[in-house]
This record gives sequence, structure tokens and C-alpha cells, in this order.
Amino acid sequence: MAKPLKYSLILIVLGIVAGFLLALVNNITSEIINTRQQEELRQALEQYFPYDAYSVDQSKNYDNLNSKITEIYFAFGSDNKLSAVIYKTKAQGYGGAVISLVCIAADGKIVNVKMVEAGKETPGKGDKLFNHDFSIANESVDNYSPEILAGSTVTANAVVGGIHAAVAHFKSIAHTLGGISND
Amino acid sequence: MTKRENFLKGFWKENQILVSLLGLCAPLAITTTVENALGMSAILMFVLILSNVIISAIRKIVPNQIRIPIFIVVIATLVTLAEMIMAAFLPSLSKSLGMWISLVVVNCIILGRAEAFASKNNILDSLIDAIGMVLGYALVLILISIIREILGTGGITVWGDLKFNLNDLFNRSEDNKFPFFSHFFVTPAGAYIILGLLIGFANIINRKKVVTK
Repeated sequence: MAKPLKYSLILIVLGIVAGFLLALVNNITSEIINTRQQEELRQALEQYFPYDAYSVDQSKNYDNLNSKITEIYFAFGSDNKLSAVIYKTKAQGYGGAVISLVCIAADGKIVNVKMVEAGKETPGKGDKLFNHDFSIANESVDNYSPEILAGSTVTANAVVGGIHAAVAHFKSIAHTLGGISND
Repeated sequence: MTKRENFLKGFWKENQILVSLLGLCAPLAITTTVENALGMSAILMFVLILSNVIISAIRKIVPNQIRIPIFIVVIATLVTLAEMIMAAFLPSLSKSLGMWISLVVVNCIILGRAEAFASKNNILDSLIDAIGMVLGYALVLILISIIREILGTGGITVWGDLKFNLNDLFNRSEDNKFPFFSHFFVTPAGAYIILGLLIGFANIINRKKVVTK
């Protein structure tokens, strides 16, 4: 057999074996990773914005979504009426993707914003944003001005970009929210 | 070379960072915290030991002309496995190391040991070589991270529970803190200086040994 042919065959076999092995492990781990992420998100939602019930991700129901908005959840009160819309936003920060949750009450007031993930932040700088108050709680969606944190402008601006995207989307769907209830 | 020499050479004589200056991205990038250094060492241990053993096991059927692509496929497979397992079972560590896990594929130490040692020696020797090399690497990694985390933040925190802070330890109040802790050491520039100093010290010691001989 010609050498190049033999070599290609060896590499093909090796590739198949490696691919098979990876597919096998991925099969096992992807499920664990998925359920854990769902669980983490639910806990984050409950921890930061406690409501009686949450919908599943609604982002597929909206076209032309701003690329910063990755997921949208409806939160319901005890009367099964819509209480708030929670946006999961993602933008580029100083140390990687910044993920934050923006909660806007159905009456058009911002409940708050919470940064939940910030990639690899510089210790002592960007990670302070996890506890930073952006001073937008209870502000109207028509009139709010987030306060950023000096020394970690890039990451703070990533969070603010997420807030703006969420507010813009909320305004665009506000007229449709009246009829939504948890059933 | 005896088995003992083979094992010990990775700690000092052929230490991959201090003497061979290989795989320097990780010591510079992920040594901001001791926790990251431990995590990186664990991944590297998993990958290097398995890659050395596998490559040594298949060394007789690997044609010389295509050995590098074969090594890379073996290493990349192992790293991807480690990445998936870590994301599933050690999520916080996998988050804090981020892309550095995937970059282990191109860590020159692993390909270096495959090419320089495992492809020419039997499985047992390759295993011993891998363990010695990765332990030597891990010790330097952890040393750098200890220096950086203490100088940068004034203390060390590992897995949230095991922690100390020099300011708390000596009961320094907020406005009477130790003045010498600087954020500079957490930045890449601080990593360069500390790594440079360590390599310098290693050279001084090695040179003295040569002179006294």
C-alpha cells in the first residue's frame, strides 16, 4: 500500500476513535451540565427576584431580539398575574462575557439589575460589581440613569448595555403584557 | 538513568518552567489565585499522565512522519475530555479557568514530553516521567500563585473556606492596612516580574553548583 494512503487511514481511524470517545463522554456530561445550569438559573432568579412562579424561557417568541438579550422569563405573583419580566443579558466585559439579570415590573418600573457572571474579573476591581448598586431600583423605564463604578468601567458598561437592551425590549412589548397570566 | 533520577529530574534539573522555560503561558495567565493554580495543575496532571502513557503505548505503531498530528489528536482528545468532565462536576473551577483549559492542548510541555520522552521510552518510564514533570510544574505554578495572591490581595483564599488575610491576622484596621500589597501583582506585568525573579534565582543556584563542581 502506498505510504500516503496508509498514513491517511491511520489518521482517519484515530479520528474516528477519538470522536467516538468524545461523543460518548459528551452524552453523559452535557445532560449534567444542562440540568445544573437550569437549576442555577432558577436559584438565581429566586434569590434575586423572588416571585411565586416563573415561566420558561420566552426569548424564542420574539423576533429581532437585541443580541445582548439571551433569555426572557415572565415572573408571576400569587394571583397568577404577570408581575415582572426578567431579562438575562450578555455583553462583553473586561474579563469575558458579563451576564446580568434585569428585572422590570409589569407596571413599568425597574425592579433591579444583578450581575451574576463576569468571566475572569480582576480581583478587587471588576468583581466588586457583584455587590454594586446601580441605583436604578424603582426608577421608571422612561427615566433612569445607572450609576457605574469607577475603576471597572468596561464591565460596568457591559451591565449597563444589558439594562438598556432589556428596557428597550420591555417598552416594545409593554402593550402586549396585559393578557399574560400563568396557567 | 535510574527510575529515581527519571522521577526527580522534573523537579529541578529539567524543571519545565524554571530551566526549560516551556509552557510559560499558564504560569503567567492563571496564577492570579492559588485556587486557579491548583486547578490548572490537576488538569495538566490528568492530561500529561494519560498522554504520556497512551503515546508510549502506541509508539511502535506510529509512523515517524505523521507522529506529530497523532500526538496532537491524542492530546486534544484528552483535553476536551477533561474540559467536559470539569464543566460537569467542578463548575466553579471550570468557570474561573475558562479558555485556559482548552489552551492546554497547545501547552508545549505535553507535546514536548510526548516527543522527547514518551515516544522513545516504555510505558512505566513514561508514566514516571509524566508524574515527575507535572509535579515540578505544579510546584512552580503554586509558588508563583502564592506570591502573587499574597502580594496582590494581602491573603489567600482557596475554595472559599480555607483563607487567611494578613491584615486580619495582625488586626490591622481598614485605614491602617499594610501598605505593600499592590494590585500590580495580580496584573500580567506582576506575573512577568515574579516569574523572571524565580528563573533568576534558579539560575544563580544552578551556576553555583557548576562552579563548586
